[in-house]
Amino acid sequence: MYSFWLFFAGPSIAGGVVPVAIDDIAKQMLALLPNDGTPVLNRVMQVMLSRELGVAIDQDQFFTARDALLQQGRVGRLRGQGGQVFLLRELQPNEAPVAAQPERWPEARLMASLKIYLEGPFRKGLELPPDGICLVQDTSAMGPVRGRWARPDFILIAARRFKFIPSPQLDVHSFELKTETGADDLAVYEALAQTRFTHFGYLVWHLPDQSKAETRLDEIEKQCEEHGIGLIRMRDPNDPNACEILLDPVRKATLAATVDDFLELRLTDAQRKDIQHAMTEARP
Amino acid sequence: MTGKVIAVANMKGGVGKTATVVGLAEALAASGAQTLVIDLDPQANASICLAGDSVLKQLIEGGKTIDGFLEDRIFKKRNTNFDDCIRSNVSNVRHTNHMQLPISLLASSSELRLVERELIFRLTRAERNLDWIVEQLYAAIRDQLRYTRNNYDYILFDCAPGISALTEVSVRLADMVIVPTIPDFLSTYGLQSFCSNLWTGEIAKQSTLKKPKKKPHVLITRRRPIKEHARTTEKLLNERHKERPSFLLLETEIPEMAAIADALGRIQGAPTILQKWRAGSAAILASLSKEIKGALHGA
Repeated sequence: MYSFWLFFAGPSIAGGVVPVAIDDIAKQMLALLPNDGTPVLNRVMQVMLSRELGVAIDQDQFFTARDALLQQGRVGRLRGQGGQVFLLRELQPNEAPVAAQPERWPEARLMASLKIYLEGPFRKGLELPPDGICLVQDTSAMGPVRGRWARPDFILIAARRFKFIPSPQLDVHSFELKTETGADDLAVYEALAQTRFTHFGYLVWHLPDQSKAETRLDEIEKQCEEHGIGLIRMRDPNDPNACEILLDPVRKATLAATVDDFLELRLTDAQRKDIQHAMTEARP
Repeated sequence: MTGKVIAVANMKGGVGKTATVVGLAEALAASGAQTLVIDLDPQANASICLAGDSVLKQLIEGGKTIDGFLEDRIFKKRNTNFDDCIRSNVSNVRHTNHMQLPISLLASSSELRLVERELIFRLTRAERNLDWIVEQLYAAIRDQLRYTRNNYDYILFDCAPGISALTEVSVRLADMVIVPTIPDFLSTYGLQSFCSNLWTGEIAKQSTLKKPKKKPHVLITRRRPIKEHARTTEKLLNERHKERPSFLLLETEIPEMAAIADALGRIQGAPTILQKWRAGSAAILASLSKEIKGALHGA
């Protein structure tokens, strides 16, 4: 039960005041929320409450009632678009627990999974020689403040030398990471724009099996192919081996000087020294 | 605050009375005006469009309707007031700033038809004439409006098709009467008889009650880009040039739009006014509310 009985004054038709108990608002909110847990925008719920109760419900009243329900574990909340509220169902006796809600994977959380994948299975797939080096750098917060699409989420630098060809080779890969709902045409162009500074551009898309977003996969893949961008599907962020390269990128003829300038600003001193060492050291 | 009373009436059905009331109420409320809708049609279409089914069910079950009021006041001789039956904050529509539109409702229900029948039954038993009913209703509603209009900027009556006693009362009490009319032969035929009946004809002459304050304002509704509608609109426009025009014609016209029909069905959720009416019809309603305010306040 509600442990408080606060009254707020809501305006009435006559311009006077009508007292509204917060627990009346809370009860009505529970009655109005969809039973299947579909979230409702806070501002929509506020209007629905005013309509049902016949008095204007202001933000203070609404949030006091909602916070009380949150504390009691009766409702949940989501962020974005002014916030949303949804009903948390209580399990009835003998009722089997419903399938767990899909885990939420915001981009910040996916970054750690991508790093593990790049340092593990992806690096292995490059088949670097024993004296080759591979560096993975989080560049999502590096680069010009106003530079548009100049901040790949990760870059991977692979330096190698060959048995017969005298000059060493440096490849810079850039990775643009997108959440399940975040991949669209623009994401492909973003990955493409990043190849202004690198040789290979990838779009990494968290796309679980049976995701509704799968309907966009063909279109995204086609766009990537047209622009020579690689596409990596991250099925399960908990399992780095579940990433799949759907499309290999085409190597861009980015000017060496441009790549040099880019790396200058993204790598640490130690990383730069490692690369210089790998590129210049005499062959064993 | 002394609210202006607007009656929306026409003898003919299907001309867009309810759409006009709902759209105009929302446009007036979106301009910041406290607006009350009084539904006088037993079909209760305006009530359901504004309140939605669950709130309307509550109101009908609680007797908070116009028929509940009339039954209490006239038959049971109780001191029930409009304020006891009016439901405020009834709209599910938000302004673009997300605030709920300030619309209140005195709902109707199908019982209203029974109340009218009961009145006629009592009239015949008491050997009274029809004017007695109109006088009873007129007195009851006039007395309520004296107080209620202090709380609102605009009060809109949604009248039932035909000329019922309630329609006659609301036309006589209104500061402005809007007659939605489709610009076709049948609708304009009905328009002439409606105007002559209530303003210049026998009903008007015989009644001892106060005459309607102004000539009715005709609002062209559901206009389509066809020749017949263009020709009829021209005829309606010609009324302006007559020495004694029987009606005034509003400049704003409401075209036949799917968006309007869709909007009336949006009784769930909480759309903004633009989401509900779409940009095209919202602009027309804004223009209509501006014109009506001008006509009422002499702008």
